[in-house]
Amino acid sequence: MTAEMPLTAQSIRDGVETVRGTAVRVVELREVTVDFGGVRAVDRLSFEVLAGTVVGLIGPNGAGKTTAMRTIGGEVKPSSGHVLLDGHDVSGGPPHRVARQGLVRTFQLGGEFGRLTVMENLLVGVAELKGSTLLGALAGRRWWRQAEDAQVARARAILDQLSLADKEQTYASELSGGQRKLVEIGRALMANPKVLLLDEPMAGVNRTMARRIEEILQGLHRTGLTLLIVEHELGSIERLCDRVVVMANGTLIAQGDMRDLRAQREVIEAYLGGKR
Amino acid sequence: MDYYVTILALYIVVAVVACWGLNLQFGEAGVLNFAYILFVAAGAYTTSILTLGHPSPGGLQEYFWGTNLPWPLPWLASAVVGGVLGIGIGAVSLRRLRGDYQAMVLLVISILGTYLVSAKVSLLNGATGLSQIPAPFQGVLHLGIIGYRLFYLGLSVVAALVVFEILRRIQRAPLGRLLRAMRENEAAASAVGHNVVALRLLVMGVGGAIAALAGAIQVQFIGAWAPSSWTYPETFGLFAAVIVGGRGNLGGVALGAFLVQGVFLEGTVLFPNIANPNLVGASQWISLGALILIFLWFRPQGVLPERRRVFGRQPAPGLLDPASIIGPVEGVSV
Repeated sequence: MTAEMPLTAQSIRDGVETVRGTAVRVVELREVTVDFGGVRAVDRLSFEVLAGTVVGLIGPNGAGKTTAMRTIGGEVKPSSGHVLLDGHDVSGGPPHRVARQGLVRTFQLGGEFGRLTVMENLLVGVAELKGSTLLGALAGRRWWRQAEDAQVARARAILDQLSLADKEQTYASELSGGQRKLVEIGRALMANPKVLLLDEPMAGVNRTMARRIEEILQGLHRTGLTLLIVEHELGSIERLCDRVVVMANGTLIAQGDMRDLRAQREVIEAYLGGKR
Repeated sequence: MDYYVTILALYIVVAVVACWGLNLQFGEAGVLNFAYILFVAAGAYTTSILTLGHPSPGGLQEYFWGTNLPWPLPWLASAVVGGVLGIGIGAVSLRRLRGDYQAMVLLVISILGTYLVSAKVSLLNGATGLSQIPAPFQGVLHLGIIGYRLFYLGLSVVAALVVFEILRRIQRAPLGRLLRAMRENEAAASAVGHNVVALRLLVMGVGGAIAALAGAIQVQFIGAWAPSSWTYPETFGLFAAVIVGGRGNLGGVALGAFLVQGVFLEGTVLFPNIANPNLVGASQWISLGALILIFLWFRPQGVLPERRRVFGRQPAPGLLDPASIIGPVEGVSV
């Protein structure tokens, strides 16, 4: 799918290779270990994400969730092990190449471009656009205007869905925390992801906005988009996720349905501090 | 008075061109190139050796090689050298490092460059520098001193307008938006598929070329160039102009170059020479530092801030209903 094509329901479905109901692994971690100097942040982590599913990655602070997310996104090179996307090894990035292959990431904190407007934030999500090279830029507006107009219209459609249409010309730094999270999600959608990696999308936002983000993620799930979510809000994880992976001290300690996991002793001890 | 005004005007044009190049790197892309003056010097030296002719053994000045090319080839060659040097230095200093560390490495490279050229006399005549650099068409036009200076000023303004148009196109295009995104958040730009290392090298190359052009324009006007012209603090004078004028705004940066180079630094020359004969020189740097601090505290966006980009409302052909894009979402009206 080229960057200039308008985003349509069909193109999203083609792009994400929606195969819900069949067990196609879109992301797979095989024995991934990440060491920072003498500290082992992730230890032989293995799990998989099936196409069209929502997988939650939870654990106490310091469990290694964000490091795992950064490793999947190509920002951190694993000391050993592999990250596979559609069966191809994408371990160690670089992140822009991983993103172009379809693994697009949002950030726990401050992932927006503060002094860019909301519309510009979304347009940056288009990986390849006429006029984004030096020669393309020097060729002048006539060369890239039409392609950009198509992307602007596509961004407006996404902003409508995110209820941010009236914020199009607002700098991202002037938005509330929750609106910034929505801008990040919108920008990630502009990149035509196969898998959306969301690092605490509801962190630091009020309950109403958190619920709204949750509903939007449910909407994305219904289109067949694959989501991998790191989140501390277990209620949201339970409502959103088909499957949950629990980490503690860099290792995977359990995975499965959230309702089942709540009953597992290892999870209660590691994540809930021994209390139910 | 006319003589002084033409010199001051030329210096301001050179400063404007140099500041525009720095603005592309720092103002648009967020690359803290503390070695920027090195690229101005590279352009000045390149134009010098491309106009001085072959070095004569036992002559007044030593340089490793030289030839005599007609204008505008020395200016164009200087821009190419500046661009290649920018990419080369960028590849060494910007590939693996980020932010502050890049700036430190570039500052060290700038200092090393000055010491290297000063110490190695056979390279570019050492600390004495090169002189008697010919100006273009001077022997052909038969103009008086003021007339020729005005002619040269015209050439410089044409070069400045070409640079302005190049930068305006970059700024307005999707490329400009990517550079600003990289400035705001490198990791996030990378996470949606943009190669920030390539973008950094691009601005180092283009900015280096523009800096070198500024050096080329200046050296053919003043006819001499030495390491004392491009010590590392000169870079901070250019940074001050970008900060004062308004980073990311070409008009603002031009205003900043005029205010800082033409009014602020030139104004200190009028200070009375009391107590210490070095007071004027010192007061330039003291007041420049104070100016940077004042603006960073009270008006970080500069006199003319970066413009907000607004997009017109054109319907895109063939776009489906927005609801089809991410599906129906409860509680979200369409």
